[in-house]
Amino acid sequence: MSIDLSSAIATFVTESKELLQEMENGLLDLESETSEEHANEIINALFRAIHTIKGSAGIFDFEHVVTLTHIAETLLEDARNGNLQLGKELISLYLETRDATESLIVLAASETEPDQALLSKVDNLVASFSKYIDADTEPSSNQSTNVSTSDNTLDNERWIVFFVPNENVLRNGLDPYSFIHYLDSETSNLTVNTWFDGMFEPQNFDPESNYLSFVLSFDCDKSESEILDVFEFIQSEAYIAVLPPKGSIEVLKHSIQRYQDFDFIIDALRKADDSFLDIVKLLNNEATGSEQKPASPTDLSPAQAPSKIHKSKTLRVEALKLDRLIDQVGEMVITGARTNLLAHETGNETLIEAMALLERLVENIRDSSLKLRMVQIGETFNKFKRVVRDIADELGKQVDLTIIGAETELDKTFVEKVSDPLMHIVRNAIDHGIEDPETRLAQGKPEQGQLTLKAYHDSGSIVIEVSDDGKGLDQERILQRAIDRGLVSANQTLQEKDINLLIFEPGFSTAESITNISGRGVGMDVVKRNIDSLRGSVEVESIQGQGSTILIRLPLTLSIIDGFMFEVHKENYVIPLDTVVECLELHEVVSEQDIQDKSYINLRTEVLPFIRLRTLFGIEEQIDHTRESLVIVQFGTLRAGLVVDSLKGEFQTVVKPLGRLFEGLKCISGATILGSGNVAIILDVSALIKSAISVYEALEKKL
Amino acid sequence: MSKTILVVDDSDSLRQVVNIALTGAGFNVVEARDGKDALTKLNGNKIHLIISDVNMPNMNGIEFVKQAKQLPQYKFTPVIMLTTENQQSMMEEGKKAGAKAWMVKPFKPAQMLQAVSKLLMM
Amino acid sequence: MSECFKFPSELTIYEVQETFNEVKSYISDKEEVSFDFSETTEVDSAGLQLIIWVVYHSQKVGLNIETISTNELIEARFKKLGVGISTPKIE
Repeated sequence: MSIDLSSAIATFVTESKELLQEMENGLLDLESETSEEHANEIINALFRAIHTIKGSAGIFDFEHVVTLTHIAETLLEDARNGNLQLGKELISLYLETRDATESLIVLAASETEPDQALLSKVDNLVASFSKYIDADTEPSSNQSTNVSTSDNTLDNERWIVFFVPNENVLRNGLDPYSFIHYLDSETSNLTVNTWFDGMFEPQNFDPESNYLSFVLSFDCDKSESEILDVFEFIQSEAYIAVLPPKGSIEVLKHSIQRYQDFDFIIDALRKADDSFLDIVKLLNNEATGSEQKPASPTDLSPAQAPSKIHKSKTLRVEALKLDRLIDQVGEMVITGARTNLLAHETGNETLIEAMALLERLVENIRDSSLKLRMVQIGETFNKFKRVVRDIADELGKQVDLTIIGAETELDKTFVEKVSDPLMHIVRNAIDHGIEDPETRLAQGKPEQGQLTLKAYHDSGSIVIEVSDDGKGLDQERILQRAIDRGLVSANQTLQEKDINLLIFEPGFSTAESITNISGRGVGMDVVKRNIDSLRGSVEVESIQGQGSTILIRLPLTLSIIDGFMFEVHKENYVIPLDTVVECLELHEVVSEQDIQDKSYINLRTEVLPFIRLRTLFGIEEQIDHTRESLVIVQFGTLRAGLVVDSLKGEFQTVVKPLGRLFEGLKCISGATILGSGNVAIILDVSALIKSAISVYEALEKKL
Repeated sequence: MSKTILVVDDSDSLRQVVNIALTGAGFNVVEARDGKDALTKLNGNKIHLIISDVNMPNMNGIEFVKQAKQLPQYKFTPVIMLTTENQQSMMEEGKKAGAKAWMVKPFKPAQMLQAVSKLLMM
Repeated sequence: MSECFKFPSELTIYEVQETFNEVKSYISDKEEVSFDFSETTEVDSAGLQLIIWVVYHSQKVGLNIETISTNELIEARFKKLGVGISTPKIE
């Protein structure tokens, strides 16, 4: 009977990655956490995460993972008891452990042995952790780990377990006595204190509800996690806290609040261990002095265990299944459009009405399924906390990261693709933007630099901003450099925003010393290319001496868009409806002469660059000026006009990607199949607008 | 008077291993091949704990547990579910059906004994 | 000599509701009560809890408990839990 564990291992890998990411988030939060209660919660969560990974790794016999996580877990136990403070050094160690563990798990899952470098790293980590364990046993000689004995730890010699099952355990088929009985067999000198006064409250006694709670004390040579394991099956339905010998006063304080009778607890503690006599006095004083009253007697149900079982209302779906669903919805949209056309052709009123209803339903399904692809950008942003910390450290800078708009959603396919460009930009900001602490102080800025990651939706796009309060862009230098590199001719005058965009040109870098991190000027142009390939755009705003902001704009989705269709020389073209500002008859806006040889239109008070698409598409034949239409489009802050033959109106458009052959074409984003069966080309509005503007600027500057 | 445990799994060898381990510890063991078989065994015996596999022909473990827990004499009976996969969704379903404990195969007989001892006293 | 309430041989979560109803009506019209657990050989947390309730509640409402009969198992369990089942007379 050979058992195939491969799917279990795959699940383990996914789950571990999630747990390790949560660990990382927790560790970073811990660094800046001031509230002791929150810090304890975080430490408990860290412990449970490592404990879970260690357990599962053990089932699959992933030795290296077990070794590393075991010692990491041991130290976290100490931290939970208050015997160990997690300072910056330890947190860094744990962050490294998080990385190493993930690598080990992935390798082990693919049955590959880790290379020597990784093994050495693991050995080093284990050795480093061991120092803290040794330091533990000599509290007086250790300063760096800040082991606090008298403040946080108690003097108890015996183990104490606080066990408060909730009121439904009996109904759920669990027997608290059975667990106690088992604990008895695993320990020695077990004494039990049982509280049951809750059953005498005014409400009628319900024999199937649980009113019993316990304080257990014993001797044993097991570890805390082994004791916790005893209660494995009941832990989600009970409060369980383990206080080992010389335990943490925090655990004690926290647990006392779980019982409804203060006197009972005092009595139980006294009976459990002699050393508690002083504590008892202390707590008596606290109780009378500081309103630390137990829960009111009418509250008959002790609350759940503090373990934060993340009851997420989410569902795991294979990405492939989702893509297939979207594809099918796309087909449905197209077929729906086609059927709608046919229905209209029949002229049958009832049928047309029914089709209209169906179209609405199809639209709803379309929207709902597209929403499935949307994920919050917060997860990506969170990864940057670690990155920012590491880079700032390496460069000797102090950076405070603020994240705004983490709940902003974007298509899941973007999440992976936008991560790298963002990384480059962030590294750049820290490396070249934010100054080192001394320089900042000299300029009257606070030592700590500010880096902000912001995300929001704006007219059909998602915008991601990376701002820093560093030294900003030096436009003179940039321009000079660009001229030096032949990117710009010396007598060209450029607008500020264009100068800023020069930093994205290939081979461009004004950094005096090209640091290891940002690379040899290959960063920014790759960033721009990545973003372009996502049909997005980049803008840069900067004030010298004050800071810079880089804005990345991405479309909300690629698959199904609300489109606006028009015709040019009997061919149909589509652009995203969101980009359309206004449609006008061309001759109503400008006379034929005024538009002759010009690249712009005076529209009301605005100068609007435009493109005649006929000309762009190389169609020589001209049509009557009175028949042409003007579509005013906008992308971000830029506007332009498109001159087309005729307008066709709004259409739901399923975006089909173009073949490889067409990928290089600048103004085309894709294609769609119309209800009629014909193909319409989807135009890239951003590219068109930029094209119109550059033509305008070139022509006007010439004059 | 020893307690009786029902072991439900379509694998003969697994039932055998568990049977030996539990009998050795002093329990009575009743075996069943699948959910349907198990339900008949429930009616014919007094069972104190149920160990059931999830993946079985004729009636899977989740369905069996759901039905077993509908019977008045078994609504409070502890259940340990066995599975080869650590599927989160299965665990959730199992818990909803009433299973309070979970064991991943392969497990050592000693582990099974430990789990049983926590849920049931001799 | 008062009538005695005899508890069933099995007193688990399955039996507690019914037993509770019976013992409630038993004590409702009495001033003196006696409880016999000597034949109860199977008991779980729910059963132990019910026994606690029966004994302590009776005392609280001022009933005179004449006798409580137990057996080794019950006594061992209560000893383990650190709960006393004591009245003037225990057999």
